[in-house]
Amino acid sequence: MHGPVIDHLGAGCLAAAPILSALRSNRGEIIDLEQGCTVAGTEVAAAADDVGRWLANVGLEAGDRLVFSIGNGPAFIAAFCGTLAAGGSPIVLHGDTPPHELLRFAQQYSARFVLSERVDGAELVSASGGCDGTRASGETKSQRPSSSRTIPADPTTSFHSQSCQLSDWLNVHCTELPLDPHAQSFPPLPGTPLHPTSGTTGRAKVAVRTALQAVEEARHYIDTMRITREDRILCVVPMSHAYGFGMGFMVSLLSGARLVTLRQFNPRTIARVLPEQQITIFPAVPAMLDLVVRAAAEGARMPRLVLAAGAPLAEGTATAFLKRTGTPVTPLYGTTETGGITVAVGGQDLLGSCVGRPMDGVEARVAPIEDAAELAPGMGRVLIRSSSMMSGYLTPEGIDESAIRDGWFETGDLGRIDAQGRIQLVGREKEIINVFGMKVVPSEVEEVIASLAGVREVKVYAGAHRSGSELVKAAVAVEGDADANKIRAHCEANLAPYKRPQILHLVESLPRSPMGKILRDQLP
Amino acid sequence: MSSPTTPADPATVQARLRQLLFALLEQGSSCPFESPEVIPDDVDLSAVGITSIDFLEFALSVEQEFQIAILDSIEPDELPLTLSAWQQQVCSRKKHETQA
Repeated sequence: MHGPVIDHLGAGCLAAAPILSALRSNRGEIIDLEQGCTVAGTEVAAAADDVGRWLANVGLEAGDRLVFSIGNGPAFIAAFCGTLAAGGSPIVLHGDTPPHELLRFAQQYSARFVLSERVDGAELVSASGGCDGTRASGETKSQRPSSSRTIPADPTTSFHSQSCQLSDWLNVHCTELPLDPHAQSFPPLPGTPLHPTSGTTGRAKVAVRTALQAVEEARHYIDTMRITREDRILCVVPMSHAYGFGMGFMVSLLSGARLVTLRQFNPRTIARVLPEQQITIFPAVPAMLDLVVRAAAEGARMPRLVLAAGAPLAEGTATAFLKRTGTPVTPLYGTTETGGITVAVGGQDLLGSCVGRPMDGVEARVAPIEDAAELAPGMGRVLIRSSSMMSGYLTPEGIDESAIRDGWFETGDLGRIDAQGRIQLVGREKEIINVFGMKVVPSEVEEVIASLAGVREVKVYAGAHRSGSELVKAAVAVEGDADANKIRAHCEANLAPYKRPQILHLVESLPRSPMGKILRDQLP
Repeated sequence: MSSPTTPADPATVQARLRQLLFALLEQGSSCPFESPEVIPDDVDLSAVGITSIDFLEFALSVEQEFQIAILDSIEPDELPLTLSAWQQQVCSRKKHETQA
């Protein structure tokens, strides 16, 4: 079922107004610890306006899709909001996404531009296999212009690349991609964020989550956790991911809370920064907490809220953290499609896989599964209804709303709701690999590996990590001179770090049933 | 555990690093080595099935074992990638501490 492209998605940057208005009234600060700078909310808003004007000058038009790859920090916020202000639709990817993957997303969703901090036009040209027509003679990275610069090229065959250094903390590259006559046409969604997701069917998709829905999610968090401008949020989870986007970027924007950002997770740095910056809210994933607890001094001052999301919170992690720091870990549950669902604040007496009650503004119910005798009574598919929920998935035909039935979104998670209204999760129904909270779609990794010469067949699947998280495993049958080193190098060039297989098995052939189906239990 | 004031013997450090790495790999589902002794000095740690989180855990274990601070001055993406590079890192830090 495809819904019409509704009014607010077709009116210039009007759709972005909820975020832009929050940006302009934000009086908080962003502290970028890696760059060593503190930036006022007003400065970020001014920079967003500059980026918006710059993108419009570059040629971005309302409704154009733009592959967006910027790491945590004020640059993310200014560039993201600037894109929305120019009427663009940012497809938000991890800041470490390599050039090949940026191009793949651009091609898949007919994006006209790539906006990246790390990857410039020359690298994209190189990744595309084309000649470098983007760099004027004599120009090097160290000589990068401090204002925008156009490098002329034939628009039908070449890349246009411009760099924009607006301040010490904002230096991005915008590359206009060559026109592709075979590109699929997608409906224009001016000023609307697009978030890649594993979907609920095990196929990579892009969720259309409007600025209004993002603001609604932040309001749910703010109300439930009573977040004020006195709070200080440490954001080390990627702001490109739904968790960091909602809990870091959007919550600080709406509440005026100070945002302290890091791009790299270093447990020693976290242990130092939490007390030093007087952090009050720390969104993390469980595996991070296992390491922070080892790096922190006994009884170290901890934030009022230490959140764990993205992967099941093991009892051992919660217990060790509490014992060492005296601070309980608060589970948070959400999905890219729905935004945050639960935050177990207020001593909800959690046990095992319980993630607490839905936040205000979010409803949950469980739909029974027929012919699932292995599930305990009351268990079923977890369904969510929320004002923060996406509009649907982006498709060439329009916004696919079929995942939302009668206002309810099926998360793909299995669970039950207890007598106190708390959600207890028991697993996932679909084949998604959860790498420390980052979801990996096996078919995407399989397609990349299969594109390497000499790979006959490949299966990508989940392996268990001792933390309770998962890791990416791949069984690959090769011929000729293909080997493990070549496969690893190929993955490094084509996949964001968290998607690359941690364990690679070279096999003669994949174990298959007489019908040709891969026998999962016989995979190495 | 190594003494914080004693310069480290490279061979001893290397042997202990092998044990620490093996202990970490053994907790996973696919340890590629049968014993610590067979882990090559030049093994690429990014290619033996450990995640970025495991890598940090290894660094914390090395810090604790040799009573040195590594993550205070090296960011995770700059950590050594082979056992021999780790051994040099440990020995160098132990030497500096002794001289100080």
